Amino acid sequence: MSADFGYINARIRGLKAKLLGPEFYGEALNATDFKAFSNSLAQSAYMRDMEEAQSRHQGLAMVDDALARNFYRTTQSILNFSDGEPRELIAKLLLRYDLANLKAIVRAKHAGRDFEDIRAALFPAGMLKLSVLEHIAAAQDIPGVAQALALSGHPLAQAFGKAASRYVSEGDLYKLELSLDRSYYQVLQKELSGLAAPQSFVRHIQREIDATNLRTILKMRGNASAADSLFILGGKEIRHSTFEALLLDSSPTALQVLQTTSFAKVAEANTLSEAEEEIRAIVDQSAKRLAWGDPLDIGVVLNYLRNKEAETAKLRLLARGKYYGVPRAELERELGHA
Amino acid sequence: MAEQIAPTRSNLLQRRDQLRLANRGADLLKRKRDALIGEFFGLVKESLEARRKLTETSKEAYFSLFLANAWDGPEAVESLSLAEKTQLDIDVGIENLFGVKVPQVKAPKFNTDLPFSPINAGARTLEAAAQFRKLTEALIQVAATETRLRRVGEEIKKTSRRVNALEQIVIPGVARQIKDIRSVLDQRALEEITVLKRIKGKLQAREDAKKEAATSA
Repeated sequence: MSADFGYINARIRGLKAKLLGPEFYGEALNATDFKAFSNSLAQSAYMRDMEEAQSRHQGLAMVDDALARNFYRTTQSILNFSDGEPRELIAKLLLRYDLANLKAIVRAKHAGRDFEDIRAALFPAGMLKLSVLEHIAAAQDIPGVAQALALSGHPLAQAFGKAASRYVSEGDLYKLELSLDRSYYQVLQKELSGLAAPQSFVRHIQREIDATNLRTILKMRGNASAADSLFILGGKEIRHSTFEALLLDSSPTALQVLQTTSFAKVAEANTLSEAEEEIRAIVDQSAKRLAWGDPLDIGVVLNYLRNKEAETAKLRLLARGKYYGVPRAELERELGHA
Repeated sequence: MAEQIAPTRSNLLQRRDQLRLANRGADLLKRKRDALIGEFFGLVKESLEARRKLTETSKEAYFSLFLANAWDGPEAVESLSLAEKTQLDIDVGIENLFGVKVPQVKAPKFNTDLPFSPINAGARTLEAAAQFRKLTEALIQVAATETRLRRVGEEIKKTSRRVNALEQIVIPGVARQIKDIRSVLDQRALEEITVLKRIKGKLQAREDAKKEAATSA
């Protein structure tokens, strides 16, 4: 596997060099207004995307479009310069974007929304390209979406088909989405074992599953009856019993059971978003360790993708901050969370 | 044009009753206006507080949406918003406030059950949704308080107009009519007395003439 990643990771290091440095953020924070910020973004690595976005949108929509365009151009470029098993592994990393897009489509179909509403919710950074997603979104209903997805041969197609059949009889979007979420993690784990992924990467995926379970606990505390349907199998530190107990007991002291896990800091968070930041920091740290552990493995790609995501989020924050005239101190505080 | 009234005693009595009724009505309306003004000032206080809360919650809600769009991404926020076309039922009753029908809006009940899977749903977006629920409550509260305020304000204006009409037009008009009728009636009474005095004088003169003729014969 390592030999295959040699070329890919060299290209990733090239991409990493294009990530915006602290001097850009300093300049962006000093920008007097949104126009000054978008000008400095247009002179950075985002030049091409800003030019394309300028022809379609104005204001915040222009920056959002440029950032999204840049992100999925990057993921497509990574897939293009990869092949063989490494490409398969990278594709699994990007599967979650497909899941998010499919969920956006089923939500829209369930609520009878227009095609234009769906387009605004798509982020085609995964295996399913925008044209394929638009074709799927053009389906009349959820069984139609399942049929269109099956034609693409996507790894989630089979699970989606089963969930869609149940949806036809029950009409329950919540159950359909839960089924898709659980299937995503099952497919991910199954495909990783089939690809004989490195043990360190499997451990990282287990940590991500723990993080997902922990996030679910924090969002759904006091609702223990849903424990069985919400728990994702495959984590290492958050067991089903812990998951159920934390869902049942919504007191802040209950989170002390996390002290023995990698997620100890989450117990100290005061709000849901603070807890989410802690969880993200822990998973980021895990991805960094994976990248440093073996420079000729998937960890480098994973860590780069997380850094790229963080950069996109920071730029969205700065763009909005400048657009709405948010004080610099507030923006600096929020940027510190990234 | 002034109304032509027959200067009769019955009309005088009728106008006196009218005057008494108009005075009592004006007094009652003044008391109603005072009570409404008291209520109005209470509502102004409530309305200012509701406005302050609306400003505060809208600032928090829009800032949380700002953060959700930045951290979770506008596509993810848009995606979660697609799940359900939310319809909010507001329970509006009618309250009778010193004869004024004002709306009484009860705080709306939101369905907090998630229509979508909570797994991988952005925490910032969920927090923004909770903030927007608070904003909706604050907005409904402002609408309810300001509608009550407007209705009470309109009623105060209407009552003041009625009091003014009674005090400036109706009461002086009826009082003038009473004065006119009384003046005509007094004049007639005076004339009658004069006629009677003259008749009495003539009768007296005739009597005196008869007595004088008898003594001279």
